[in-house]
Order: sequence, then structure tokens, then C-alpha cells
Amino acid sequence: MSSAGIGSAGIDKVRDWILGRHPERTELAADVDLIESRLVDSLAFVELVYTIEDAAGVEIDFDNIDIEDFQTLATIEKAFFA
Amino acid sequence: MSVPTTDARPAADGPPATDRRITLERIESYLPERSVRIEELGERLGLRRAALGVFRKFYGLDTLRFEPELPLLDLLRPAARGALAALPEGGRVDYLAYAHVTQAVAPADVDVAREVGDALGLVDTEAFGLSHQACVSSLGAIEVLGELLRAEGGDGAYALMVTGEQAYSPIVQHVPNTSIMADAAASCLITLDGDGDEVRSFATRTLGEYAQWLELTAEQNTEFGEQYGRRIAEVIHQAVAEAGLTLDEIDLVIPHNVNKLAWRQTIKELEVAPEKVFLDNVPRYSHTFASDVFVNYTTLRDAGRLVDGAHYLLVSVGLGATFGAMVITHRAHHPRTGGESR
Repeated sequence: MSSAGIGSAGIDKVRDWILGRHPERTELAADVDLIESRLVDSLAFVELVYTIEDAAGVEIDFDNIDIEDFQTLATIEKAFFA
Repeated sequence: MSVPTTDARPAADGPPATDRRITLERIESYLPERSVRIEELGERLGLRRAALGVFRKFYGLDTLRFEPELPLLDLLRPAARGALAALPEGGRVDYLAYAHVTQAVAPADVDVAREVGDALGLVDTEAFGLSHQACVSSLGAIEVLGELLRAEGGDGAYALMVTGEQAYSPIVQHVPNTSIMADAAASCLITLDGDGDEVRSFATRTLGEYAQWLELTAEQNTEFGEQYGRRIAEVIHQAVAEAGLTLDEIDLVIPHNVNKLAWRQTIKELEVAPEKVFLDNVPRYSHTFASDVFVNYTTLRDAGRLVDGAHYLLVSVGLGATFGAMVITHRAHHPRTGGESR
């Protein structure tokens, strides 16, 4: 998996949540665009936020984030788990 | 399913119904005055901080109109009166359709369509409700009214589409992970071969497997979300093709206001510039049931942004799930006075 090496327990939880919604996939590279590819569609965005908050153990500050922070596993890791 | 509006059938008697064009003689909308920020609805809707954050930051919602004490008729009447004002001398309204999303908008013994007709003085007008296409019902009603006029309407025959409803309960107001519904109403006076905007095509498709609305399983929701953009693109391409146009020839997409993220994904699917979809009203009014496309139309028209002879695409999606797209050609020279201010 191309995501190997950047892993942390937190981002693994996010990856597992996305893969759990898409049983047809077994892996998810860190640079896949989650929104454009519809791995996270608009219906799932709230749940994604809850998953990240749960995994990171913090509340997301919506004043200081942008949608680009949610674009890929790599950007999510940088924004919330670094 | 798609029924081209030019697909005329012979009438049972009288002159043959040719491919007469449905024209939209006057479109008006109405928004109640009381405006609230979405955060003010958090407690009522049981929305947690993160959900409100997503709605504001990523879905683009901000304020909306919400006036639960306003009687439904008072919500519906201003736009309907405004549209009816375009009825010329000698014209008569043969049909009135009240298009709504929520099936129970009033107690079962209240016929909202009839009451609207009576309130407008249209006592001889055949009035009926129309639903089941959820937020596409208003566009669907235009087609139904047009077909009725083709089949039975004689000289001077008009029809009135009325839509509008209120987010009267939290269940109706909050579509989980999708949108916060708001109050608005709209109306459209319709005839055949008039001087108003010409309806060039209407494409619609209903995916009945999602008929359970808010009761879908998590898997069904995921599946629906994945194909959402693609399904909208399909009806859009179909409507544009049936209008004899290309997407490049459409000046602007006038959409429903479900949320900006859903449209972002659809814009990607359509491969059009983001500016081609009018989303300015999403943060102002949020999703107003079946009124969105007409509210957005009047905003654009009143701002002078609709061009005579240009083609526009009205697009909506309804729970249940129905996807609808209508191509119209705007006629700016059409006289327009007496509309309700918003």
C-alpha cells in the first residue's frame, strides 16, 4: 500500500472507515482524491468529520480548516494527525 | 423516463394537438421575511457542532427563511398572485396544480390546491395536488399542466403551477447529511405558444429503489451518494440533447439548493466551469423544497442576468429518488409587471 510509512493509528482509523464503506476496495493510497473519486460523497461528509474527531480525540475548528484539508488521506493526516 | 415536451398527441376531439410549445408566461417567488442562521436551528434539529460546521463550511449553508407561524396559504398566495397577474384579458386559468414535496402538508381534509384556487378567485379552475417526485414535483407539474393544455385547452387557456411549503417539523426540515430545508413558495403561469420562456425539453428519471426516503439503509445511502452526480449528469445531457442543444449552448444551470458540495461533485461530473451553476442562493435561502429553481430564476431575472434568447437549464433532485432537468429559452421582452417583491 502506498500509504505505508505515513501511517498513524489515527489515520488508519479514517482509512478503515472509508474502506468499510466501500467493500469493493481493499486499499486506499494516501494521495487518492476522496471527494472527486466520491469515496467520500456529500452524504458522508458529516460522518467523515466525526470519524476524524473521534480518531484525533479533538474537536475540529471549522474556522481554521478548508475543504482541501479533507481531499486525501495525506492532507487529512497533515491537518489533523501531524 | 423522459417525455419530450414536443411529443404531442392528437386530442380526442377538436383540432389536433400539434407540437405546441409550453411557455412560462410569468414566474414569481416569495420568501417569508424571518431569516435565521443555521446555528439557531441546531437545538431544534438535534444538530451537533460538527454537523453544523460541515453544513456551514462545506455545504455552504448560512441563513434561511423560517417562519413556522405563517399560515401555508399566506406563504403560497403572494407568488401565485404575482404569476396570475400576467393573465391577459380574455385568458382563463383552466388548471391549477399545487406541487409539493412532503405529502402531508395539511390535514387530510384540507385540499390545499382548492384553497389556493379559491383564495385567488379561480373558482372554476380545476385544482389538484401533485407530488411523488419530491423536489422535482414543480418541474413535473409544468409538464403535466402543459400536457393538459395540449389535450384539452382551447383558445385563451392557461394553467397555474403553485409550489411552496414549510419546514414545519424537524423531520421535514433536516435531511441528514444533506441539507436544512427552508420556507419559500413559487408560482408559474403557463400557456401554449405564448410570449414567455419556452420549455424546450424536460427529462426526468426516478430510481424507485430509493423510495424509502429517510429510511434507507447505510449501504443504500452510500450507493445513492456515489451515483448522485452521474445520475444528474444523465438527465441534464438528455434534456439538453432533446432541446437540440449542447451543454456549451446553455448559459447557466439554475439548480436546486441542496448544498454546494453535492454540486461541486456534479460540476466535476459535467466537466463544466463552476460559474456555470448558480449557487449564490445556497447560503441565502438554503433548500426550499420544490421552489428552489424558481426562487433562483427570479433572483437572476430581477438582477438582469437572464438574457433574451439564451438557454437555461433548471435542475432538481428529489428524495425517492427523482432527477429532473428542464431546458428553457428565455424571452426577456415579455412584459413583466406587478410581481411580488421578496
